[in-house]
Amino acid sequence: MDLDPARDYAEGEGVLFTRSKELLLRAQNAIERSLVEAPIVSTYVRRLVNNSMGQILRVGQAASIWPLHLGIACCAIEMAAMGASRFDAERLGILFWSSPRQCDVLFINGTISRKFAPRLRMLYDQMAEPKWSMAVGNCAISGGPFFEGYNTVLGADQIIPVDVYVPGCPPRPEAMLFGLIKLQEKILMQRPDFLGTGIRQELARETGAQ
Amino acid sequence: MAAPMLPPGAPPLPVSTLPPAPECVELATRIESAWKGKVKSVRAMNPLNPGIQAEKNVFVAFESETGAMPAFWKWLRDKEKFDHCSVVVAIDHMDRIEVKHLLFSYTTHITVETSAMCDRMDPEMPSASLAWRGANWLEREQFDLMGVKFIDHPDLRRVLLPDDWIGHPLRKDYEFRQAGEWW
Repeated sequence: MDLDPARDYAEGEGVLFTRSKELLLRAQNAIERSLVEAPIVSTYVRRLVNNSMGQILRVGQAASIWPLHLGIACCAIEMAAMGASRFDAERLGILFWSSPRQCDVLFINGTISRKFAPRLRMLYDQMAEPKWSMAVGNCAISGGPFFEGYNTVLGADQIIPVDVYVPGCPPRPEAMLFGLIKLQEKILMQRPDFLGTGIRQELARETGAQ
Repeated sequence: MAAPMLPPGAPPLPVSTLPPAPECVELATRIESAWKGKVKSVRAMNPLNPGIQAEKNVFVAFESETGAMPAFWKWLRDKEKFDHCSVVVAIDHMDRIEVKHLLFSYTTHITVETSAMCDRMDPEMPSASLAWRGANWLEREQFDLMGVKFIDHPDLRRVLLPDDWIGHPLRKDYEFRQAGEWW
């Protein structure tokens, strides 16, 4: 079905949108038209949509944290215990996933060697926004017992931004769950960003675009 | 062999008075008769604990004349049924580097330890990976961390550290970076 951008489709006209391209085209037309016709109302509408739908989106994000299934060292054993039946992280919506493209949280659980550091950065870059990261265990926080090693990166925050630190050698599964709950609180406290304007502004600041 | 240096206050090393296993003594005499003049010293080690299969050890020292080592390894593999190179060790003695190959036989359960001394400035010695292909990565590790160059090694690259690493970090005079110096 071809859409006519100039035409104003009436409500309930029976238009069945099967392709996302057409839906996007229609939404873009509606937004542009509202900007031209009523800019002040449009701003209010945007704010209203952002504040109302953003809350729902934040709750959804906090209730479905998917960490990357990445085990570096012995803290990964505790991470496995956290996901297993006794502590059962999935009751909080925490599901381990094996592809960084669909993940929200990067669990850094172990010593980061200098050879692994570029790979970890690549994994973090492959994750889609919005994304968070957790440094689990003393190695990922500061190098831990391998602080004086010739091959140790002194903490994950030397490579990627870290949201939550969970100390311990290794931390117990309850501590990791507590860290994840703290991350949920952090997600719930974030400014609502339903329309993605914050991300767009951030990207513009990074790339220097107007 | 010089006595190993112990830190002050450490308990003395245990000295075994048990006799070595008879098959170790037989292997040592066979090595002595077959490799006379090429091997500096052969010794059947005294076991510390009786009745353990892994305690059947024979120590073979080549000192700095390492030319006969490939033939010796092939002789061990073909004639004495030593079918496993379990460990390759390099020790930094500050004036020389000692390289040890631990060779194990699954039929007789004897471990033969060959020892060679290398020059510390330019450590070179023959490679055991032509006799046992499993020694390939073990020798690459020693090249990576101690800088021992194994002649005739098929693929002598770094295995643990990144390729652009400078120096060999398990040498005793390796300069460590200070905390927070990089990154």
